[in-house]
Amino acid sequence: MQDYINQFSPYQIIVPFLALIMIMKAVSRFRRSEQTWRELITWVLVWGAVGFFALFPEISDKFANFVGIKSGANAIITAALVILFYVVFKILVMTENLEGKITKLNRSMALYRFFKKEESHFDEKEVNHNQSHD
Amino acid sequence: MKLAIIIPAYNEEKVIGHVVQNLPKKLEGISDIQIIVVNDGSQDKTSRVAEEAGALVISHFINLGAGAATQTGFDAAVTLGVDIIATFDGDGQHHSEDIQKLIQPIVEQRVDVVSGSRFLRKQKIPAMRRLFNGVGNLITYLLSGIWMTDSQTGMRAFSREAVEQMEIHVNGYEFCSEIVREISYLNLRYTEIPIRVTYNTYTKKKGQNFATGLQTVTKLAIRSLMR
Repeated sequence: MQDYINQFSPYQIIVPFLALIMIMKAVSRFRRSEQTWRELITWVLVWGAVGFFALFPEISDKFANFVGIKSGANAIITAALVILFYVVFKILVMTENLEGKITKLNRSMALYRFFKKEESHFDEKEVNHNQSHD
Repeated sequence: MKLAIIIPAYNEEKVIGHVVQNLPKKLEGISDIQIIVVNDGSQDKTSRVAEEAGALVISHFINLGAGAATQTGFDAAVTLGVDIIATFDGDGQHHSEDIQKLIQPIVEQRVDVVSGSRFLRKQKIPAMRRLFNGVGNLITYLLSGIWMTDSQTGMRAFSREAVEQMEIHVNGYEFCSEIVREISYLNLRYTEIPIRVTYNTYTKKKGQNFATGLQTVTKLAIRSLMR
């Protein structure tokens, strides 16, 4: 057993352990409905991959060979960059959409208030007009 | 024909009253003029000053940008049933005498959009603004295929039909370029006319500067990527 554990470097034990904690945290947040399905799946996949590649670094080398990158570490960093770019782009789209929604809400409220005021001005004028005729 | 003059304004209490009062009360071919100031979440007394000067005032709760304010003005003008909609800057850089010339091609139903150009006549314009406008023109040309001598102008006139068809989704100054893109996309008839501008210390502070210019360019680029 001791020999078996000695095969692992500290990195191979700490990182998967950390990944496991992160996944557990995500699950508990999801259970408390603080997270959506999509967030949970993304979190589990990302941390799952981190833990998995830390535990089995030779697999990342195979993956690197497969995609034509020199070493496993490089392949992971490249993949992480691609994912990060995607996430940043997603966030950008989300903030744009949010800005659009806030604009729509704000403009509709302004227009609603304006026409309501105009309407009451018109009513007032009509009342005054009718009163002067009476 | 009825005309609405839309003035987007953000913190313009010092000049907005003067701008509104100076606008023409009568124009050839126009039976009714509505002045609509869109107060874009100003923290000063822009709204009150404009109202006292005789304008209809629509107030955004928060500051959204000149593009959003213009859109709100467009919506109000269309609901009020006007036939021609003109936009005019709230900082006092435009001359109200140019409005007749601006709307004339639409009154005569020759075009759908008239763009007032600061660069079709010789006048004093700061070098930085000229440079900035040149870049703006180039980007607008790349995105729309239309070359305008003043793509970033705040003084334009539209037929109601044109406004009803146009879809502007941007809030900031990039709406100037979006309008040109819509002109191209919807195949609207357009023309440019020379207008006068006055640049003083106040107007120089307002409008687009280098920083907002960069922001405008970035947003336009992202928008076109996301389409």
